[in-house]
Amino acid sequence: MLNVALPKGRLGMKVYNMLATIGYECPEILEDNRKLIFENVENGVRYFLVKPSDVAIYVEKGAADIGVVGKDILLEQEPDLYELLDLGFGKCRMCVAAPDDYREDPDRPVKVATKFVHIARRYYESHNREIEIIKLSGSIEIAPLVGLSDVIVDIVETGTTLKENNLRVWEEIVPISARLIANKASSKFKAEEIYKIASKLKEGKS
Amino acid sequence: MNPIPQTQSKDEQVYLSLEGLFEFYGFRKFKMRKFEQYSLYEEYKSFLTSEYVLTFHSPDGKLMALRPDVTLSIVKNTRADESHTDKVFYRENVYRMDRHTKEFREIPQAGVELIGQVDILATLELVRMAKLSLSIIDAHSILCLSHMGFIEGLLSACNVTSADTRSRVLSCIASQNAHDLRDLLGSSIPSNEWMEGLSAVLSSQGSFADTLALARKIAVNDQMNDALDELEVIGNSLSALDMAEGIRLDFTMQNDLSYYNGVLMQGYVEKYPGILLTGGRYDRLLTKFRKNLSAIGFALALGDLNSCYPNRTDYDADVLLLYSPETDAGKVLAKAEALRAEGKRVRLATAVPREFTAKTVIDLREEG
Repeated sequence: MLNVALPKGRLGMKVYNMLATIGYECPEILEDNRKLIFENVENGVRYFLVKPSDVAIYVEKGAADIGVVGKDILLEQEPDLYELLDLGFGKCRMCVAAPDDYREDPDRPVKVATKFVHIARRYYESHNREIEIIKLSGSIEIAPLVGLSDVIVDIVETGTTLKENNLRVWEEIVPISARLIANKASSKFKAEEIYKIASKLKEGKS
Repeated sequence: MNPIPQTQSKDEQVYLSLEGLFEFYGFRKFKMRKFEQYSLYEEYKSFLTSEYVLTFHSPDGKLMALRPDVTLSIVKNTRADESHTDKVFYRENVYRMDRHTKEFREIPQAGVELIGQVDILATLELVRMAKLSLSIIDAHSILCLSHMGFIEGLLSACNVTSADTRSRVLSCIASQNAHDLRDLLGSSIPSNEWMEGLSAVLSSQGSFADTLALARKIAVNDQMNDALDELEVIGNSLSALDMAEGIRLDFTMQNDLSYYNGVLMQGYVEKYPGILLTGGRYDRLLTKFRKNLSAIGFALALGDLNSCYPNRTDYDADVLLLYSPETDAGKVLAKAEALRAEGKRVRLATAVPREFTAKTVIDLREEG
């Protein structure tokens, strides 16, 4: 039985559809209900629908053999697992954004509001710049508008939200996309199945 | 009667067998204090898996630490010299911060260290012991080998010199992430074919010989070739002795280049979701201790074994033998001993104990 952790929502369903076409169908997942675990014994697959930011933990700890997660989560959590494939969708950018009229004050630390504390800290460390982190859980764009922070570090997809809040991308930190990940031990004991999936998804991509 | 309790936890069972195995290979037990002076860990901080160490002050003002690592203590105290090789094993608890919870955990660990002269026979013996150790835990186990020389040669082949790039390249290698590695190395990649070859090597789950053949195709310098030569000797020797079952090559594994050199080991068992065994050759650590010696060893983290291999029994005892003050004591004792001789766990009681379950109840209370 192959255990697959999928992020709840559109991305998860997109990945499910891809896996279904290569032999891992489990139609129950498409039903409108509140179940979170779906199993198809015949196809030897069990899907878990979990919070996107928890997918890597499920895989690292071995509850799931494989999963799909955004590169942002991998960079933030640095889990100990294999990143087998860049699926090439769910594309966006991790950026530093600030109000249109922002000017950095070199005499004090930059106040950075973000959900991605580790990524922000590492980015500013690489630029040798002292910062003060303000960890938020959502609506990050508000922080610089109400004086809570100077800048934000967040995911930017189209830039519309930034624009509507009079913010602009100051710098791009790293491009983001969905990645196929695998537990290290599972990759040894269920190697044939896991690498076959990676290979078929790669073929489908190209 | 089996004197080993049926309810004995997996880690206890495993340790007893490991101790027997290590003694069988001529290793002596090494016992150490629970704590060390913090300065030892301060000096060799990057050798540790985590920089966080639990510290406290001794009455004479020294800063002490609960041991986060065993190898450093053994290397510091080894009796090995150029004419004497030390072979020791240990079972100790180490104290490390959990990456997820940010709390310290006590982790039981067992392992072996061979310090002195490490020749090919010593390496083969350690590899064999590592595989047997995994087999004690689970019949389905895999021991992966790699070589620091191959990784160093690979970094040279791609002209990776800056510390930051090296760390990112190693991170991509460790996670089999060939897609980001390609972007990171850019024009430093010797050729597209070479990069395809590297990708195949990193994701190879084939036999020892298959992965070795793939690695040969991308070996472009002496360092890489020398490392593969050494691995080939190990692979051929194990095959000739019919000991190669469950041993593979995995070039995604790595360790700190400033301490480790030569062969690396990582072990997996089917029901444990992480890396259970880690080890390798660490001559460079000895050099930092100003000891002109070689060393190789491995450690098994036994901390989560009990949750992966639960040894729960459905009953607290096989037989509950009930008696009363009027029951013939000799008869009760004889009955209990006869049952124990059959390997049954027997509890004597005058009434059914609270929250106690037994497979069978024998009631002798009415008998004289």
